[in-house]
This record gives sequence, structure tokens and C-alpha cells, in this order.
Amino acid sequence: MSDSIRICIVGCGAVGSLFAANLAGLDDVEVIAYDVNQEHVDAMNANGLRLSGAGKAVGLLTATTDAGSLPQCDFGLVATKALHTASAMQATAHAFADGAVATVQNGIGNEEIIAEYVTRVIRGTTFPAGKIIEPGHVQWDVKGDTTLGPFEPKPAQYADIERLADAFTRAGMPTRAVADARGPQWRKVIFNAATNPVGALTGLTHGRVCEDPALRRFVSGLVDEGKAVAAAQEIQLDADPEDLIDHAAKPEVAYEHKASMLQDVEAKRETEVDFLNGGITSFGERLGVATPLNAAVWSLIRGIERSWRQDGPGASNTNETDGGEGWRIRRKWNAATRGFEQLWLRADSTRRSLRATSTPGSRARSPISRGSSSYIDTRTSSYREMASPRLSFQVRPATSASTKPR
Amino acid sequence: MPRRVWVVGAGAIGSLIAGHLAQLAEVGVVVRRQEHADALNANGLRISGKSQLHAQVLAAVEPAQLPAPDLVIIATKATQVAAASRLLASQAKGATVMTVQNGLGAEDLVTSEGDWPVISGVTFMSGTRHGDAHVEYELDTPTWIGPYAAAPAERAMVDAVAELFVESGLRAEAFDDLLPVQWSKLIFNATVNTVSALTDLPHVGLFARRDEVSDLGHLVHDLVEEGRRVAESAGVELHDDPWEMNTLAVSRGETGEGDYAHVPSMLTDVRAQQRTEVDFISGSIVREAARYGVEAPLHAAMYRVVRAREASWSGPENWRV
Repeated sequence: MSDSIRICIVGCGAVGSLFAANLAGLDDVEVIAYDVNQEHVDAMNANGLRLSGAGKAVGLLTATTDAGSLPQCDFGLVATKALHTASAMQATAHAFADGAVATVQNGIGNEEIIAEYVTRVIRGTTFPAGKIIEPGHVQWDVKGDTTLGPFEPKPAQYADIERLADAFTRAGMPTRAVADARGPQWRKVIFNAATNPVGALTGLTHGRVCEDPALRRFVSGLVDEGKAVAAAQEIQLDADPEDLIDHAAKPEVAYEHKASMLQDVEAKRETEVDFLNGGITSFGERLGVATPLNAAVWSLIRGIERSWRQDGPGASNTNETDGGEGWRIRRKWNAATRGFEQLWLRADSTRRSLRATSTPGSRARSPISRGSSSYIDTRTSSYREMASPRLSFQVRPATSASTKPR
Repeated sequence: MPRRVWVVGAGAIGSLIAGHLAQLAEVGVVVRRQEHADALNANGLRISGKSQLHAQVLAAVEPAQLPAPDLVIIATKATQVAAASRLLASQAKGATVMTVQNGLGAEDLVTSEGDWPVISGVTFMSGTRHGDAHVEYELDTPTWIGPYAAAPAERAMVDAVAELFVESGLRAEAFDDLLPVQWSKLIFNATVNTVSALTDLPHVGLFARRDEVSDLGHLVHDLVEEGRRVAESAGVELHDDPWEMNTLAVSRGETGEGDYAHVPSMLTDVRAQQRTEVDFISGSIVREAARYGVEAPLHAAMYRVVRAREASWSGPENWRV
């Protein structure tokens, strides 16, 4: 009978929650979930952490946003996004002074960061995936295996790694302990680096990416570069990433799945590209292995991230200019006429006045309020007011294109 | 000088050309929508920005309604050239046809529908349409023209067209061989347009920055270099250095308003979820590379990714492999 384990899940997002909720079901494991999202933490404390989908559970655990309150733990499991590893470790390292910290994050480079804060590090790779439905509730989308091994420069004791793997397995997250966990890690990194950015750049789900033969060849090009970088380190991949890519494209696996990087891009959240294609490119550069496709993709995704911070002419988020006297001029693209139209808006205390300066007879579409929209018919030749609870409109067709409404 | 000109396609470029040439020639404009023709016939064509003009043009959906021309300028998007050429098939006999599309391949589509002499054109000007009868002239960079080798217009005609452009207030120059210019712009467009379309960035300073390893300028530079190798294998000596075109474009505010950043047409198309010209631009480089037996993996990658993005707006039944 093993001693009881106290484990802190650092970062209780989708993947962290899969581990947390399942482990909480074991009698000999005490689970503490650390996350910065107050709503999620409150929900977990109030009602437990709920899983639905591929597996169902309600994990009763302690959740907190206060890293300072964490007790000494036997294990830490870091499951934050790779870009938050450093800040998460800065906050929580004190709780692992006598423990070992494992990571199951995406990408390469996390173990190195963790090792700056603690002395016993476990390299890990995991394949289960899910999605946060709402605070306290995670949907389990994909089941799979986890692999743990020592992080060679600052390794945890092998017996502890086996103990952790055993607990994961008993909890319903099958895990094996191995002497060299780089193989599974690089297999997953290559898989992620070859598929996530392609999803993000094209907007396609994984299955649809794989259905396009030319695009699938591009994915293979990214894989081949990753394989070359792994080979240069004499890492034996535990399986061919190509097999994983094809397997994931099956309808019953992840055909409809939107890659996490695509989800990030759609939500304008910073991605993990620095640890995926950036990791492959950086390792490749150090080892003298050319990775032009990975480098290209890295630049493009970073470009997308930078576009969110753009202001000024040409930026998609800035299409309003000042029309004077409280009027704003919003440029809107009319797909039918393939031209820009101008909408004049002015907010006053009770209503917004809106004037569409488009060609008489055309229909200008404009949002009235968040989530709703209305067609403004510009065929009338006089002002027409449309009342709504918060807004009303004055519409007058254009005779002189750019003059302000009186 | 040509006295009667048809401009087919009244987008930003077509409108700029039509509005300026109408100062000196009779201009007929062929458009796709009746309401567009009605607007032009009722209101004339207004140009603001770098020129201030109000032009009289005769607009129609059916070219047969327009008086026969000396010169036809096809100014549609490259994706519409085939349809425009079919529209002209039995018309405009005796006219010279000029193309000004991005990328390569437009001239071939024209010559497959008729035996007009053809002028190749490359334009660097740009504008923004503010409705059917008003275009703002933003970049007044020149239009370069030359006889199309496979169906060449007379050199005298080419010179006359250049003169017409210049006298009407546009900038233009005639060349013996336009391929060096076309390839320079092809590589520039294949690079800048696709990067812009995929990142949602207008053509900003980042396109020339190469400080950090992941800076966009590295990708832009690599795409230019790869394009240069393909041009070399095709035996074309580039007229301009596409990398210099890039750095020049982002290093100064073209309209003198400091923060100007050009929104490439491919970015506009992607934002509007409309089919892009990538087949004619990046696709041309990929095809030419295959033709001359050289590799173009980066341009091929950009091409495939943009095509896939287009497919994401519709179903897989609309994909073309």
C-alpha cells in the first residue's frame, strides 16, 4: 500500500483539469488545484471539478488562486500554457522544496524553465485533450497515454517517477515511466508543430487539413524537419508522428477538432508557437539542421500575434475616423459592391444617429448593438427613424458622398 | 493616341484609369452590375486624393452598347480576366487589348479568346473605392507597359498608350520587354500579399525587420530570395529588387501622412472572405519553378496555405488540388 500523495496541479486548464478531477477520485491522493482564474477556482471549491464527455467525474479537491497558501507537496504537475511556465513556477516553487515537479505541457523548453526553480524535474508528455465548457466544468475530448521520465540535467528519483505514473494510471490516465522520455516528447512536439499552426493559418479543422493532399504534403514537410532535429540529438521517437497525424484525422478521433493554436488565434490569445516551431527552429539552429518551413510558420504565427496590437491605418480593428462635432466615420466593406461605404455615427445620451452614405438603392448592413444587426434600407429619400430600445437611426441616401448629416 | 477606350472592370484600378483617361479620350466602362453602370452614368466618376477629377464616362453591362474602341484595358481582378475576355470575344475588333493584372497569365487568357494585339501592363498605383462612383487615389506610382511577346501590339501603339496615360495625369512608361518588371512585381506580390493575408497585417515596418529570429522580415527576405532563384532559372533579369521595393514601401508614409500602411488586395479579399488572386501570383511562381526544374518550397507553402484558407470559407467540394 503506497503512502498518500499530495499533488498540486499548477495550471488547471483543460489538461490540468483532466488530471486533477481523475486523481481526486483516488483515496490515497490529495489534490490541490492552483489556477489564476478566480471564477474557475471558486466553482471548483463550491461544486467540485466536473468532467463530461469521454469520461465522467466530479473531483472533490481544494482549489486556490493564492500560491502563497500552498502547503508542501510531494509532487507538482505543471499544466499551464508554455508561455506561463516561468511565472507559474515563480509563484509556486516553494511548495515543491522536497518534492518533484512533472510537466505535461506542450512544446520543448518547459523542463529547462522549471529546473531554474526546483531541483527534481520530471519530463512528461500527455495526449489526452479537452475543452473548458465553463468555470468548474471541462469536456474530455480525447483519451490517450502519458509518458514520464527523468529530466536528465536535474532528474527526480526514478522510484518517485514510477509512483506518480502508478497514481495517474489508477486514476484513469494511463501512464508509463521510462528512462528516456524525450522520444514521446519530440514525437508530440513534431506532431503539434506540424498541425497546430496549419490549423491556425487556414482555419481548418484537423481532419480537413489532412484531406487536402497538397496541404498534407506541407504538414509532412514540417514533420520531416522536426525529425531531422530529433535525429541530430540521437532521440529515438517512440512512434512516427505521421501515424499520429493520420490517426487523429479519423472521424472518431479528432477530425472535427480545431487545433488549440487555431482556438487561440480566433480568441486573440497568445499561442505556444515559441515552444513548438520556435523550439524546433532554435534547436535546429544550434545543431546545424535547416528548418525553413518551421521558421516560416513561426514568423507567420508571431505576425498574427503582432497584428492584434496594431493600431492605425490598415489595421482591421481601426476603421473609424473622426468626422468632427462628435461624429465618427466608420468604413464598412460592402461585399456586393466591392467597395467601402461610410457610416456616420454619433452617440448622444439617448440614441445613436446613423447615416449610411451609400448609393441609393443599396443595402448597408450595420451593427446596432453587440450581437444584433439590422439592415438599413437606403432607398428612401428622406430621413427615416428606426426605433430600438437603445438606439435609433436616421438614414439618408448619399447625394454628396462625404458631407456630414446636419 | 487612342481616342476611344473601354475599361473593363471598375474596381479601384479600373476607376482610376477610366477617370483619368476620360479627360482626353472617350471612355466606356464595362461593369458587372447594372446599378454600378447606372451610378456612373448618372453621377459621373469622381476621383479624390492625389487627383481631383470629375469624369464623364459611358457605362454599360453589355459592351455592345458602347461605341467601338481603339483600346480595351482589362482592369478586372485576375480571377475575372477569363470571363472578361469571353465578353469581348466578338467585340472590339481592331482594338488593342491591355492587361494590368497582378501576377502572370492574364495575357494568355486574353489571347485564347481573340487575336487582338496585346499590351502587357504592370501597375503600382492604388486607390480605395468609396462606393460605385467615387475612388480615392492613394498611391500615384507608375504603370509600366510593353508589347506582349506572344501577340505583340505595335511599339507605336504602346508608346501612344503611355503618352495617353501621362497626359491624363497618371504616371506611365513604355518598355521593350516587360518581363523584368512583371517578375519584380510578381515576386513582391507573392511575398507581401500572402504574408499580409495570413497575418492580417497591412504592409507595415515589421515586414522589413530582421532583429529577432522570429521577425517577419526573415520570412519576407527568404521568399524574395527564393523568387529570385526562380526568375533566374527562367532567364529573367529583375528590373527592381523586390526586397528593396519592400523596405522602400514601409520606410516612408506614401501619402505624407506618416502612419500610412497599405492594405494589399489579398488582405482585403481574405478579410472579406472572397477568392484571392493567389493562383495567378504565388501559383505562377510555383508553376514556373516546376517548368524550369527548380524548387520553390516557401512559395509553394504560402500558396497552399492561402488556398486552404479560401477553402475554409466554403466546403471541400470547392477545393481544387
